[in-house]
Amino acid sequence: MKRRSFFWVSLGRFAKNKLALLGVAMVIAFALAGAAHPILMSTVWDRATYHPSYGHDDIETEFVIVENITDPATEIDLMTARLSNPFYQVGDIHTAVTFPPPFTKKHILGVDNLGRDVLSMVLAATRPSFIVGLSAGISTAIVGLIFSKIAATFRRWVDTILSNVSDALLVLPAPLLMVILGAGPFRAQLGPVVFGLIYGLVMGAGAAAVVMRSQALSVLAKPFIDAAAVAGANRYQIIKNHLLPHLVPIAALYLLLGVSGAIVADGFVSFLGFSDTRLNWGTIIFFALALPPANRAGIPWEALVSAAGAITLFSAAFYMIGLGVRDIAKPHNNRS
Amino acid sequence: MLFFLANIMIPGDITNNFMPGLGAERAVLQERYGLNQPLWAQYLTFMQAFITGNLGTSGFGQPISEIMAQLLPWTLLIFVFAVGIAFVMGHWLGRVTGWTNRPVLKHIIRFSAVTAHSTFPPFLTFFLAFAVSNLLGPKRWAASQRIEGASNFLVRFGRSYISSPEGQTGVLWMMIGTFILMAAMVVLLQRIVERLIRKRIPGVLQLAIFLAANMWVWNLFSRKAMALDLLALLALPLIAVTILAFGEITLVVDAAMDGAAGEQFIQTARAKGLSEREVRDRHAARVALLPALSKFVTSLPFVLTGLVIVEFSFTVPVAYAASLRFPGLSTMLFNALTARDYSLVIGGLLVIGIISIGARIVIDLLHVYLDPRVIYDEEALVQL
Repeated sequence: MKRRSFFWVSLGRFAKNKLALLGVAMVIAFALAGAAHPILMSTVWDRATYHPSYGHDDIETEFVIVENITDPATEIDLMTARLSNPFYQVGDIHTAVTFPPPFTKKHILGVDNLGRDVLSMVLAATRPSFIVGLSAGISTAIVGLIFSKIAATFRRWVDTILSNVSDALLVLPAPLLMVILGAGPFRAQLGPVVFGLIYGLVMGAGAAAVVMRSQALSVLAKPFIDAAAVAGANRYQIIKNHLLPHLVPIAALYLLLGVSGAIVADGFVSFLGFSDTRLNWGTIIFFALALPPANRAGIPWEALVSAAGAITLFSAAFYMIGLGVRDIAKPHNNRS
Repeated sequence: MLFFLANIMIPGDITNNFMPGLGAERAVLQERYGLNQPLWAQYLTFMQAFITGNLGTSGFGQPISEIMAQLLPWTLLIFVFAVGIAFVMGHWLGRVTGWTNRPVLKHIIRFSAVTAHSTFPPFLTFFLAFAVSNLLGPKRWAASQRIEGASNFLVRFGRSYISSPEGQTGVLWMMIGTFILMAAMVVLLQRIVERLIRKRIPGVLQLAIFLAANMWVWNLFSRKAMALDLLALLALPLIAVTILAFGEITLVVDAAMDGAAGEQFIQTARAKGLSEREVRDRHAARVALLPALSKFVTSLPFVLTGLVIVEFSFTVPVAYAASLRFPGLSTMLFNALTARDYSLVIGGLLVIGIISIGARIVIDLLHVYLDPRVIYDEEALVQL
């Protein structure tokens, strides 16, 4: 009964935070999008056009050959056109293969530099991102809990060693470590799950453990711990029944922060090509930036903006839920 | 610190996996790098060398400490400037959000703070380079020429680095020094004025004094032109890191201000007849300063990571040009990674770690100064 009421109180406090609710809505939307991709692939989208890795679509466009271009969408200059046919004159029509424009029914977000459908790629990359994010977040929370629990249980030299390890890991930031691991000998093993686990281990033993340890120590200094000890509870019971409930909300907060950090880190590592993930929001951006623009004028904003927007919104969603959880974790934060 | 070094030592031993030689050659190389000794002996040698400031030589024979001394001020300058600007900006935005009654403004600032905090750095850097080169360059370019123009513009940005590389390290150190000193001076001036005439200097005037003082000192050393050139070169990474860093502070200050709004001393201040602005800046914002500062300590390593990523993202060659030839620690770090020059990588990580620890110590000291209740005493902590 009591537990439940605490749950509902927390839920009410969480629901008051509009930003957190927005975050929940965004995560649900991403989950739906990730689930929708295989269904769409097997029903509406044909593999030749929409496959995220080797689908392709192009159209033939006619260009008028002119001396000086005024409108790059319908005109092409003589020198460029003569590269494909040396007998062209000004005023001729040159037919070239271009990519379909964005915001049409067939390609809502357009295609990238290789003619792949951007929407399909972005949706297909949602599932691995969820895997990376959740494995990172969960391992961050668990490792942080274990570290702070051990530090609080044993104190003295165990605590000293663990807090030194945490401080050391704070100095060596996790995203950088991932890049080094990816560039080094472990590249082949760096799948989404392993990436998430290593990231979570470093984050959990570092930043999360520092904060949770100090929280654990401050809870242990509170009078109700002494009261429990006087009432006859042994150390194990105190930690299980009185300390852990205070640490769990912070663990949840670090779970969510771990997810949002891991997503950006994963995007960056795969942007650099240091992980074995083939399809990822980071690689979409990399291909959009690094491949030379074949038969396309200008910059592939549709691929760039959708992938970067997906990373940003996905990690922002978890961050915003984390802010809501922080309100639960530190109800007196606002009044101290 | 010791543990950090011990951690760092582990990849150091990997070096022999990548030695090109086989058999006898490899043995010779191992002997030369001392890799055939037992681990503890290697560790002792490494520590001895580290304490005396000798980080060894890179795979290409250049002493690492020399490379670091050349590259450090570039990274440090961006770090110090960006952290300073982000803190002031984030604190101001948080003050506004926490105090305003307009929910739309509140939510817009909060949402943009979260979004800025989790922007994807390579995209941000590309967008900044593109936007700047298009806004400041000639407008009517054909699509292909526009790309050309962007790269030209960015090369012009970096001309001062390319034309005269020597003597810049000194100017960079001077800029870092004046930035910190002048910031301290403005704070001091503000306190003196407040004590004398009981009035705050307006923020804009503070900023103007700060900039003018910086210019004056640069002029005094007759390095103003070079300093401004360098600042122009560093502007883009600076803006990018600031965007990545300010969001978190905004949110923390916002939460603290929200909590302070209902406190009794706020009502007292209002009852005294102070203006709403004065209540906000002098009474409520004081409460928000400490949580922001302590949050900042834990987020500093991540700002530093963001800086490293941003710095490198600017130098990634992309098809649309617009890559900045930027000499920084991270460029070196990633180049060394690709070249498998692990001793150089370790050196770079060490320097990054030292920056991080240094910044942490400075903020801890500030914290003690601002909040006299904080005592740094191991015994007291154990007693808790």
